[in-house]
Amino acid sequence: MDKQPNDKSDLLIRLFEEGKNFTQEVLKENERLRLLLAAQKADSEIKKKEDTLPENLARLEMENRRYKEELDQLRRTLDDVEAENKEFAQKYVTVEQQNSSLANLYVASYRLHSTLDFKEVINIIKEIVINLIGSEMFGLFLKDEKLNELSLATQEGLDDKKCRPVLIGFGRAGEAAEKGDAYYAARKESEDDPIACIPLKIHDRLLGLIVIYQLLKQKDGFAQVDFELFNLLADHAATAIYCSQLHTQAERKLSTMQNLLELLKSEK
Amino acid sequence: MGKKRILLVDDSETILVLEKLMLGSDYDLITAKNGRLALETAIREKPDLILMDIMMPEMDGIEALRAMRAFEQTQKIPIIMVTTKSDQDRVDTCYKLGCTDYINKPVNREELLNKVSKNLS
Repeated sequence: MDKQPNDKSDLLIRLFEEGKNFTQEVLKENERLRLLLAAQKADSEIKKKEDTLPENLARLEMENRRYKEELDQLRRTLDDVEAENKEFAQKYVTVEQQNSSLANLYVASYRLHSTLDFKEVINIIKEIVINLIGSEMFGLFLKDEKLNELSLATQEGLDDKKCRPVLIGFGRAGEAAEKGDAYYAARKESEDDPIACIPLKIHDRLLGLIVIYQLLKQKDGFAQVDFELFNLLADHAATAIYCSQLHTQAERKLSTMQNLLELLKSEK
Repeated sequence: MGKKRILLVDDSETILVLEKLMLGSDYDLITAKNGRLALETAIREKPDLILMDIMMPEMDGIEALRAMRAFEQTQKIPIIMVTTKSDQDRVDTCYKLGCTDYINKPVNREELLNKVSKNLS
């Protein structure tokens, strides 16, 4: 009688164990199937990718070609911009040089016509030749109508020999004065030779001559603006000298007349 | 901020007109015609920079430079010497006396603007 409950208990324990084993097997099978499914899914994705690979490759090649074209276009644009930049830089330099030249020309012209005093005009011409052209050895000669020669009005750095009057038609300076054309030496042949002679004229009438023997040490030669300044001096300096001479004569005459009038008044 | 003030010193009106033309749009300019007047003006006006010729009557640029470096009011003002003669001795003397920089005549616009701007910054 006592054995029956034990049999039932053993049966239950066996049943539980069998149930446990079954559950474990089901779980294992489940895991195996899950892994199998994952592997199949991965295979399927790989296969799918393999199927679309040529298509993707073609698309990527097309994109690559498009990017290359864009890159080429950007390179061409960059080249254009660089060329434009260089052109602007060159233009800037040219404009700067023109500004500088215009400033010099404006100052020379402004100064030459700023006075009617003869001595001041001569001094201004001297300042222009020293400070704007940059000469340290030159002379300004004015025409003596009676003697038909040019005598020294002012100079900088000249020795006595170079201060002598210029005879029209003789020597480099005299020839330039006779022809009325500016003379520029390509290179200096001797110490006594001028490097530039600029006749100062009003139309064809010669009033004076600037003779330059040497530039400042820091100047290698004449620049474009120097030739423009010489052209300006040839006309404007002559006009300024002429006007100041006329003004001086008029002032002198006026003074004489006033003195005469006062004398007449006092005699009355 | 107002414009910086520059004292231009030269006995040549031609150079003063040229420098005014080149610098006038960017700076306030005051002028003096010799070293003595420059010294008086510098003490009174305290400019930000002085641009001074060397060869001048009454008191030349070198004497004016020496005097400016001796006065407390002017000893720190940058001074650029402008010279016709580019001999090294003269330039060396100016540097020994405390000039900041120098430029040669004929004055080149770009060089002048660069040196002025450099010494004012």
